[in-house]
Amino acid sequence: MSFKGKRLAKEYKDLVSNQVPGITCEATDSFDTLVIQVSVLDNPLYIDDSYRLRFIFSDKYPFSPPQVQFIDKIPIHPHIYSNGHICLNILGNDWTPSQTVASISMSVQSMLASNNLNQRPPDDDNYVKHAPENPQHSSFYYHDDTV
Amino acid sequence: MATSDYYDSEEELDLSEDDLEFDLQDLHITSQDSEIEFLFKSLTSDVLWISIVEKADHVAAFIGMTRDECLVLLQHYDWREDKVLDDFLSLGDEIKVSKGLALSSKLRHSLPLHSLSRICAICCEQVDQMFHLEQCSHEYCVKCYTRYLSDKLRQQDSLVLCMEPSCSISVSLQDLKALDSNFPGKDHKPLYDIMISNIAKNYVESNPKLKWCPAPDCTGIVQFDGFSTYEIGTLKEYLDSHNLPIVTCPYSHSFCFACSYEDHDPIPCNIAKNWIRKSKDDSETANWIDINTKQCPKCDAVIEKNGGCNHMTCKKCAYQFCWICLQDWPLHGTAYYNCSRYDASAIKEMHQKQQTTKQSLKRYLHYYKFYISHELSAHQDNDLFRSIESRVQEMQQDLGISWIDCQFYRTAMKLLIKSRKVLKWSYALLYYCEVNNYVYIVETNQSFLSNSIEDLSHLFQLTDPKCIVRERLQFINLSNSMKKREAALVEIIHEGLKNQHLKVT
Repeated sequence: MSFKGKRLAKEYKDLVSNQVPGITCEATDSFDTLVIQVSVLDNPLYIDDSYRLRFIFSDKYPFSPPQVQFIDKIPIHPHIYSNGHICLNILGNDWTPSQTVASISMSVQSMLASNNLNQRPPDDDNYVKHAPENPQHSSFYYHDDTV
Repeated sequence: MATSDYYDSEEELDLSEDDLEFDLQDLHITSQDSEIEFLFKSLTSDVLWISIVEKADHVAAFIGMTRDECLVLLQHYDWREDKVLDDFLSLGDEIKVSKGLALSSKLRHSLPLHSLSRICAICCEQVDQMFHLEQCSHEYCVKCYTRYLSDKLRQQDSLVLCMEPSCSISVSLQDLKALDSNFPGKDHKPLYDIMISNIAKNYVESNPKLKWCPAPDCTGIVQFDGFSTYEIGTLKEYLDSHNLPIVTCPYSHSFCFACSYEDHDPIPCNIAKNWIRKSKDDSETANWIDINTKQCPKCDAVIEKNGGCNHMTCKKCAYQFCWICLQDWPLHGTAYYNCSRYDASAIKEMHQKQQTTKQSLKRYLHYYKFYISHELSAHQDNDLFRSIESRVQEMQQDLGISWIDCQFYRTAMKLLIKSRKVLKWSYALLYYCEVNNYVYIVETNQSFLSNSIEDLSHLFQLTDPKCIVRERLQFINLSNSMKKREAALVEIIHEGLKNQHLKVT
């Protein structure tokens, strides 16, 4: 089995066996994409919803970050664009190979949990109009690291 | 100017240049105040590294840390020793924790024990050899760590952290040495070396007095060392007084220190920049299409009208229309070949507009043609220059001439390349200048220089060493007269820009 396959098989096994509250992995038969359901329990903005986070892995995984974005319903958050792209440093420059699907999902979950602003990023309209398919090809301007 | 090595040819020969002198005297050009020198040092990357290490050692002696640690610290403080010392005095050894040189005591206790399982968390393989940074014990296999670091270093990072996301320890040069020792093969480019060049890059970029040579793949550095007079303090003042900081890197590429582009003496940086941008992008092609073509009103095919009447039939869709008003042709009735369907003044205006754009394009192409042909010739000269070494050696060996007696050949070539550069840029300048009598004077001088260049260039067609030696005096004469004409052109342009005889639009 390839490098990537072996690593993802292990991550998948861990995700299924070590359940983290609010993070569930949808069943899959290929290791090129994975969908994680994320729900936030303690923030009234997102309380009754579950969001689907899609991971697409390139052959260079884990040495290059997966392509991660929300699909279907997009949570309202100042770092999440309405096309599902997420502005998160660990998915770009600050990626290290020891990040995992679980650690990214938890980062996204805590990003949602700690948010209290019911708004989109300031340049949402413009970004969505010109955004590339793959969010990694966007050079995000990290608006504000406090949220 | 600091590139004075161009001007040290052996003999000064008086040559006929009377018409040239005449122009100069007419204009009362003086050169007494143009001699402020821009002082600089050319450094190779090895020399630069020595001074970086000296700096780190200097800090190390003060705060009692290792050289490696100080290299990391200095990068965090933009290479400002005083800031490092300040923070060290207020923080003490805490500075190590905050800049990723040591773990806080709390974290140190929570470090994982050396695992016995030997399964790398990255590749999930059972491996024999694990690796961790000296300061922490987050273990991954040697292969994964190396791949991670070489990816990071290739992005020119010089401060790289441990792979574990929660760990803030910086990778040190020592760590890289330890990793490199696992790959003794020749096909492994040592991470240590890449890191050193990344640190040097960081150092140069944080210091406005240092610049990389912009020539492709050149690793030379130039250090700015002030001016020959105290009247001028900053680079901006120097530029404002119509001087150009042309410098030469240790591998003899000359470039402008202000804009990091190739030597563009005698024209100012902003004009050179505009020109380069203009000649690089194909906006002029678009301009041409705009002026010379129209689209078929029916099928949008692009049509160039290269003659004939205004009754057009589109080749693609067979639509018949009028070239001037782009309307259906039958509407024109009997007014063949002459569109009168529109207000004459509007058409005239349109024509006029097209005419001015056409003229400016023509003007541009005129200067561009001269510019590019000299640039191409300069490339050929450069190739020739590379083969000169062997020719000179041939001359020395075959004819038993001393090294110094062969220098005329090399010097002449150097002068030729320099003169071509000056001439090339002077064409670019004229495109931006308002046409007046002064421009005419510049053009006259351009043609003098151009003639000299062609003569000398012609002489370089000689390949037989014997002939070359026989023509030695001719080489010296021509290159000297060319040098003088070049100096005259440079001076006229400098004066023109200074006194605003040359009005740049």
